[in-house]
Amino acid sequence: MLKIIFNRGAKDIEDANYVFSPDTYFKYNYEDEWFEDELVKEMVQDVDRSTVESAHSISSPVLGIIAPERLSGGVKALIIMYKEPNLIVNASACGNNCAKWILEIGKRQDITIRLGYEMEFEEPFDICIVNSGTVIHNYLDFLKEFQEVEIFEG
Amino acid sequence: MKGSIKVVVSTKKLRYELNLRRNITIIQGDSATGKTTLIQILSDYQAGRTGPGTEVISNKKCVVLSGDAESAIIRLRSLADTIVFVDEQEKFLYSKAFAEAVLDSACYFVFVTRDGLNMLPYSVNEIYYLKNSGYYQNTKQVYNSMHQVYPNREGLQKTEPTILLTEDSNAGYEMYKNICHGTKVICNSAGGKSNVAKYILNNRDERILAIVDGAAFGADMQSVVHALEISKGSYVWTPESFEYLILKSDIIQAKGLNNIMESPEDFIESGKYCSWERFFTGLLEELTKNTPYAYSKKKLNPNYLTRGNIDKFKKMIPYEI
Repeated sequence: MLKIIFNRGAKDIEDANYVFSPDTYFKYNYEDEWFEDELVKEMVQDVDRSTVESAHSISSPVLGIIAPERLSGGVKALIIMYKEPNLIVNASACGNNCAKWILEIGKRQDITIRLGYEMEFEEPFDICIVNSGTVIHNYLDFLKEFQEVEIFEG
Repeated sequence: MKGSIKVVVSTKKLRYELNLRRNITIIQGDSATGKTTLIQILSDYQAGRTGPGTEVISNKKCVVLSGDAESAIIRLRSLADTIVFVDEQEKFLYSKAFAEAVLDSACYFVFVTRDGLNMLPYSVNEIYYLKNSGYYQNTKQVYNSMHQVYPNREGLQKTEPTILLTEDSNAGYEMYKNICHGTKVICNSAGGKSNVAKYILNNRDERILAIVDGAAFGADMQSVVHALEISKGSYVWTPESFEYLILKSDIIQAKGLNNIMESPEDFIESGKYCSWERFFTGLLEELTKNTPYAYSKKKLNPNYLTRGNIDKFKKMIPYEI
């Protein structure tokens, strides 16, 4: 199941497995074999409009042939969520065009992400909001849960 | 700094054109639209790593702040007359210390972030997404331009609200309460701008017209728009501020006022006013000092509440109440 920690304002997630910057984590930790996975290829194609040729060669319509380090921050975050589900990834690095993939990963395995904005998830879904412990299935409840979270300005 | 500032960032493959109108601009949007790449190009250019083929064209210096909070804030405090870019991956962007340094600064800022920066008063009109608009003028450059996330709606809107909702219970609330007097519309205060979305979500059976100070409502706008999408028949109106409306309404006359209201960006010094809301409040206070219209934000001077002045103010509202 997909679990979301809502986090608004200046307070950070205090967990050794928290990845604040998926971009930086990816740069030092990605593995070549991740790019052999069909779901990874699909996510790269859908979000970045880029085709995975190999772990060292990705064809981007804008940038030409690029290395994985130059993928978008959003797709890097998705790949980490999928390949290292023990980590808590900062999903604010992902735009709304990543939402369907986060739900898809959450269907395949348990993941926990941190979110600081109201990402637009398409109903129906099963999401556990960690802050309240509530499992929600529609966007109205998602918005209400988000509004219940205190904005930390310390 | 003041005025509109254009920034063109160009490489052999990419071209970005930004037009900055105020001290704080936010860029957000889908993944893979080139936000982080823009920051990387600026950073490489600033460090002298790009060589020929890459250009940053602006009449102001462009700087990317990165690294640890302490260094970034020290650097920021040394900058003036500069456009400062910060990517979402910088932890200090969300800190109180950095927000305070931004509020003290005379620079312009471009922040790439999807999370609301609630400690900063930025405008709903200065939140943009980047859109790939094809190739630039028969070159191999992919052209990326800025588009407003929340564009202004023109023309009179028919809403027939049951509740008129204000952010707080200051002077603006008193004016709107008087406008609602004698109608079926109830005027309520949300008790703070971060409560507006929650109020709408909790009153979905009502037709709410929320009136907020657009000049400083940027961090809360996404939540309100989402709440409105779920609460059919409710709307949000985002004039710059209540004081802006008073100044536009012809209640106050002053030489040069029309020029200021036509293009405020040419008059608002970012080092002096952290938001346009503050500027318009200051301007209204200054213009009415020691006059029968002496303005106070906390309590509305009753001279603004004559029938004639209420009628002038009502003409500013593009909704039928």
